[in-house]
Amino acid sequence: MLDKNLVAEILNEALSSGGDYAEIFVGNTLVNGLYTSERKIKSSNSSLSYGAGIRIFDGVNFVYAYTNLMDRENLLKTAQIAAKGIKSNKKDISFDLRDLELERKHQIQKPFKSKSKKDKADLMLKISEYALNASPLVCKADANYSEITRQTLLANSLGVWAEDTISRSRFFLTAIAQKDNVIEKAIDNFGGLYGLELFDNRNLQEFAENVSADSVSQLSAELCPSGKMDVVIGNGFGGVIFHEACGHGLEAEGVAKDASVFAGKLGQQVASPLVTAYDDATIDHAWGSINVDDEGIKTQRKLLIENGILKNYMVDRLNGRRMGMEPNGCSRRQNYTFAPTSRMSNTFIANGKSTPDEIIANTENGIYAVKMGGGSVKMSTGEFNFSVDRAYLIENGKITKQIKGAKLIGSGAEVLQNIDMVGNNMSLGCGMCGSISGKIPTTVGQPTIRVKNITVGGQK
Amino acid sequence: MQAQEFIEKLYQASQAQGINQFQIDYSQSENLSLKVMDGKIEKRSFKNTQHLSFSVKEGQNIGSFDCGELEEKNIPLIIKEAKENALLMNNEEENFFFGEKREYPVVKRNTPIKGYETLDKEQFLLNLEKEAYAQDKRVKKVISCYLNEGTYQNTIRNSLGLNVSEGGNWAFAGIYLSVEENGIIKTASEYVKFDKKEDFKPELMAPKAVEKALKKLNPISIPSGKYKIVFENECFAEFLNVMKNLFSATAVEEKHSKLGDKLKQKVAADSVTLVDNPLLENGYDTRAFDGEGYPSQINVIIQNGMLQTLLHNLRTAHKFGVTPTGNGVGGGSRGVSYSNFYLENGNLSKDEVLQQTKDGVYITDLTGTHAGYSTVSGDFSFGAEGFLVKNGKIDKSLNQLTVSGNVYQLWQDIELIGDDIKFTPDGCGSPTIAVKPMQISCN
Repeated sequence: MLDKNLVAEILNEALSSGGDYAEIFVGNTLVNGLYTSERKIKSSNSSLSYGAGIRIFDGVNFVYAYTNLMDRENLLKTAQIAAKGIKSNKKDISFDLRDLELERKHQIQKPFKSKSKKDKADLMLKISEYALNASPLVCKADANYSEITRQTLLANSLGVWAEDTISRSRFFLTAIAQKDNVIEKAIDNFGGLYGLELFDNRNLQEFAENVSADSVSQLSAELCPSGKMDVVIGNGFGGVIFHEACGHGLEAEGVAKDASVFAGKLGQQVASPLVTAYDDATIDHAWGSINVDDEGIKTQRKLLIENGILKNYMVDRLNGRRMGMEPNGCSRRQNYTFAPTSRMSNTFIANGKSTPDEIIANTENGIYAVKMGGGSVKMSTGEFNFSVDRAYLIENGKITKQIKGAKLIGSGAEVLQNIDMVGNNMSLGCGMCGSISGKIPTTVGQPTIRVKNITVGGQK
Repeated sequence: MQAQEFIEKLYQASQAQGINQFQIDYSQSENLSLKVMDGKIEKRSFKNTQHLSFSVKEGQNIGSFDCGELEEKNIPLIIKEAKENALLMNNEEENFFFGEKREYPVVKRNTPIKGYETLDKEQFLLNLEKEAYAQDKRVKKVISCYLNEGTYQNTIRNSLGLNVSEGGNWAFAGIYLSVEENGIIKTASEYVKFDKKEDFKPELMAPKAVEKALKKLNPISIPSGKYKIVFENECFAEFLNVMKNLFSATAVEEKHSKLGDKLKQKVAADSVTLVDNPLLENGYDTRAFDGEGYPSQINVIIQNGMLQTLLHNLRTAHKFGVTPTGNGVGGGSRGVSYSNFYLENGNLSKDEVLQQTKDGVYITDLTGTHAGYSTVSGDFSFGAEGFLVKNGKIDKSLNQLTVSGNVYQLWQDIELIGDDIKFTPDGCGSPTIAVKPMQISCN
């Protein structure tokens, strides 16, 4: 995207005021989005974002400057503006930019351009039709599809030159069901580092009919009760509980600043002995995977918690300096407008031994949260909240009525200790995670688990 | 290439290709952001970016392409993509560009007052952090201490003759900190926007944030059940931001609002007046025109509990057979946007609202609002922080809460409205309000 000589010149300019490390990130992202609703192609959007961000370190302090005026003159000016923010003695730093060799996994098979937008929209309309045909109560089926090609370059004063291109695609289907004045919706999605093969080897009709059935069953769901109860959380996107309650607290961004409840706890028992968890950016074609992070470090599979003992954090270069730890390939950003920091990729609780049926049968009374919605966490206190999109009451070890409007709250540290059954059906689910370096694609995952005594908020 | 030169070339290329109707939305912005950590400037960030959205009308539809890199080589791609997008859509209703010659209102946006330009911003932040730690031994960590400022300029130009521009500058600073006692950690934040003299004094902002956080210490638990709720002004303003889409015509079309057939009907308590006012003096979202270039106007959405209007862009206004309300969005989105969106003051002081409520729960923070709200049913269940209200006064802090209900019911259940409207940087504003009992669950 940029010439190596120009990049070297920019980095030297950035180091001119005494910085001890400089990097430039260049991102070129092409996005296409389609939306269909009411049997029409409602919108078709595309955008191209191209820009650069320059970051300079002075010990543990840093400057970040970014621009999308990409001519030589302005890029050098941006480096100068950034350098003005550092006031130190000039260091003797020389470097030679060398290509970082990457195992380029996640190659797509069917390029986005191999089909017209019209063909893609027609497929979306067809999938929506399956949902509409599945029940007369479903009055609306909306489909969203997006495809993203993200081309990046990271070069720094350590001599790293890392270029990569990642393509990802995702499809959403929303069904809205109405009976009298009650309206409910259900939504599901699939995505990953795929081209148009995203739609292959899937039963799209079954997928759509399930979304449709979910919206209809929600119509007769009762209001969720409030109070403390045992909660069985379904596999896949249920892993958002771990993402919110623990994952964010293991990012160096919070740990280094002593703003996380998990700071200073390496080697300690932070979770039930049944819990082993990973952050793994190398899973083939997973939605949150990347080959190289946004600081030019190859990604890894990281064991975060083993049998309840805290083993590792997600560490980026800057916070690594603050913590005296090596960065481990997890620094990410939405695009050039954000300085990168430690973030999750594909984060999940590993399989345990119980079957999902055993977990339900062993739960006398509680709720079964089959499908989680989103949530958030306050890192400094570990307090989280998240919503449940589909849930049932468990009475005497059996799933009984469907309920709606459940919210789970608690503290991450407590919930981790209270996981008392872990299933053997681990799966992953796609999400978008927002934090200080922007919105990035992440995967959450877990087998079915049971958590004792969570505070559940509902309307009843 | 210079932006004006690029726009001119794009304009000419579009005409040369025989495109009948097209529009260029261009914005340019520069920002500075500073952050202090442990007595040092931890982060300095500078931004200089531009953004262009090119839209083409083909038949009934408008298609767009968004791009930041304004190089001549991109012009064919920009035109091709926008045109292709327009030709692909098959909406039945017509989309429009705005081209009428109209007078635009003169507005006064929120902007830092005289004296800001000479402020030593780094010293201001260093002092702010220091003041916060000096307030109380229980201050555990100043998690974030920051200042952001920026300038922006937006231009809309189209083939119907529209050519309007608007720009401004802004600045705000804030602090977010935690306090700890007996193993309990609580957080609070405070911010200023440098539009009054006091805003320049860290010694005034730091104690406010610390006091807010300290009040939350030593929380108690209450049994789950129904409690009368008092929402702190800023907290309900945030809630408004979550649910404001209820009042947009596009949400009605999409079944994400049930208010489509409620015009001129009672949708809220008699005392409720809800306004979207882009002309508000010193407002965060004050503007002379909307994203489609339509002149701004004040829209009273609910008056004395009656729904008066939905908010429209050019397309929805035409479809619904009403005049546009000046709430359009340009570029590729063509949705509905809001300006200064607020619940009007009532005539009770905050203390009177609490006294008349007598017993209940005072909510100061909502969490997880992005996930706990079903736009189709209106049901919500949020995480929350708050205090017990006992004998008309704010009493002990409470453990983490959930508050659940339904937004349509909530509007009807507003009982008391304070006179202390406060705006959030999202542009939403509310006074303190009290509502009929809602379901609370406490950790």
